[in-house]
Amino acid sequence: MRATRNILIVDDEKSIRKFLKVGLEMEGYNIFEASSVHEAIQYSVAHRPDLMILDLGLPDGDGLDVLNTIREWSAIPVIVLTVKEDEQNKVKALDSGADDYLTKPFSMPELLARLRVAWRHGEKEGAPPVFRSGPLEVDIPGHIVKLDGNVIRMTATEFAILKLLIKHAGKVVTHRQILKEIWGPNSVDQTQYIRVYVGHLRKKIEPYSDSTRIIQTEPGVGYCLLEL
Amino acid sequence: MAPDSYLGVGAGILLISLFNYIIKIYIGYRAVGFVFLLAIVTFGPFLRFGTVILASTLSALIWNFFFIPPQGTFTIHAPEDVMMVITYFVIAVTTGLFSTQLKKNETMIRKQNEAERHAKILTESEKLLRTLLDGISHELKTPLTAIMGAATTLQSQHDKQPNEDSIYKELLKEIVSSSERLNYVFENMLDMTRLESNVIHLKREWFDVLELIQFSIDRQSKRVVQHTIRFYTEEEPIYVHGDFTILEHALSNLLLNAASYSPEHSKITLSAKKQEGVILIAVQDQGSGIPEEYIPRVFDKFFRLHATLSGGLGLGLSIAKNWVELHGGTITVKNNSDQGAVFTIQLPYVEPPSVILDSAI
Repeated sequence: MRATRNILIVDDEKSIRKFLKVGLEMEGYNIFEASSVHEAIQYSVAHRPDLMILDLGLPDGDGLDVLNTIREWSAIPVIVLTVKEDEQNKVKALDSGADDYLTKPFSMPELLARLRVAWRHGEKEGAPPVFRSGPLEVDIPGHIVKLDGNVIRMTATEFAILKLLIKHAGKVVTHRQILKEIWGPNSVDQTQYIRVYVGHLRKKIEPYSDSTRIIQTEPGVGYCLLEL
Repeated sequence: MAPDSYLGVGAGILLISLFNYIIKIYIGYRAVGFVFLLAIVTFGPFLRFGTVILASTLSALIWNFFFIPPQGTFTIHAPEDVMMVITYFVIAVTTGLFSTQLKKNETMIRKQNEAERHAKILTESEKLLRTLLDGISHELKTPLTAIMGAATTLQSQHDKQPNEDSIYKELLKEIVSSSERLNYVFENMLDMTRLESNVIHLKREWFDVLELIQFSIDRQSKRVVQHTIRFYTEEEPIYVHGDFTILEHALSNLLLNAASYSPEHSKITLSAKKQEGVILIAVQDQGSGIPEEYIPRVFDKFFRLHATLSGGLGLGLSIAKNWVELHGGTITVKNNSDQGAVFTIQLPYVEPPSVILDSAI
């Protein structure tokens, strides 16, 4: 029997905390609430939540400060709440260790789905040797990529990007993360070429206009490999 | 007659010469030079290079001819007087020039400071505007988030234990779809405000036009379910250097517009091609076209024809046009010969760097 999971909700808006609490308790989660950076850190230590939902716009500071602080000693999944135009903060949050983000306004089922992905990643030991998603099958140690059973040739760079996306499957990988991983930490400002490289990868695993979408673009932020 | 013109300076020197003539008997012919020098040094900052030279030369000549013995000639008897005149001339010119240069520097520094202050005010007000817009966005989105969140939670709960009373299901659906519509309107309004306040900064990247089209279609697929969407581009990738998010917005707006003004099950075609230094992205529908008299007004803010998909302030096309113009491009519209209208985005074509062209290898 699975122990009840604790979730810490960090948002200074009471109306948002309320529906989150109701909706999540309905799913069997145990909820704690915090409405400031200070409280968020305090309660993280006191209650040891299993997951945090963090709004970035907090009154006494930046939600990112909470993230940076708890990431010093905790690897719990963190989902941040953002607004649409805020790409910069989304990227910063992901780069600082957030697992996922949700754009306001969002639906409850969307949030629950992201929670499940976040839990799953938290429990995983590491990427399985053979990754499957829809028509795509990737033998990571063997460097073999198959689409609908047919082997596809990839350049070293394309495979490296694919491997990175698989490692974080279901989550958004930022441009910077891709750059850092593939081209090293000194290249992290060359984001303007990423889309072309990912475009080549995409053309190989989604060759036709009606091919199953496996790589999802998050404009301004990065890419996400879907787990189909 | 401007005081620093050649005429003015000439006249000034003559005046001083007259003055000198009068006081010569008190101060002697040598001190006359000092009076001239004093005048040039004092007025130097207000003169240009040319007039300083004129003043120095003219005064030297007058001094020589009328005052230095033998008077009435340009010859100078005493060798120390020759030295004196030459030195005078050098001092007059250099001091005059120094003063003019000093003045120039002063003005330049003043202008620089002003420009700096201006730039600072501009960034400050831009920051203020951004903060204001963020605040407005927050105030609009927060209650909307609560409404959507609460309604979808109720929906989930209802789906788990559905009762025969279907008004919950129907009304909750209504709340959610109205919230989505409101959200769309808010976003358009905020976009429009940001565009008009010039707080948008483009984040340019290189990408294949095909990717833009595919992404846009995927994004809008849920909202244009009733239409068939086709697209085609050229064999070779067409690389664009632009802000992906923003151009996608623009294209999506055109796509949604096409869906609004064409009948269900009709075809919408997106295409891209490269032609003589421009990239053309077209969105074509099979609607009833746009009446000729409205074509010039189609991109106006808040302009709407009768629409089939309800909602919208009439900002979509206006916003799209702005987005494209920010990239140095244009959007045009014309009616198809047989049916419907075609909107064309035109972007300047820039040759991609070799690293992009070689990347497919």
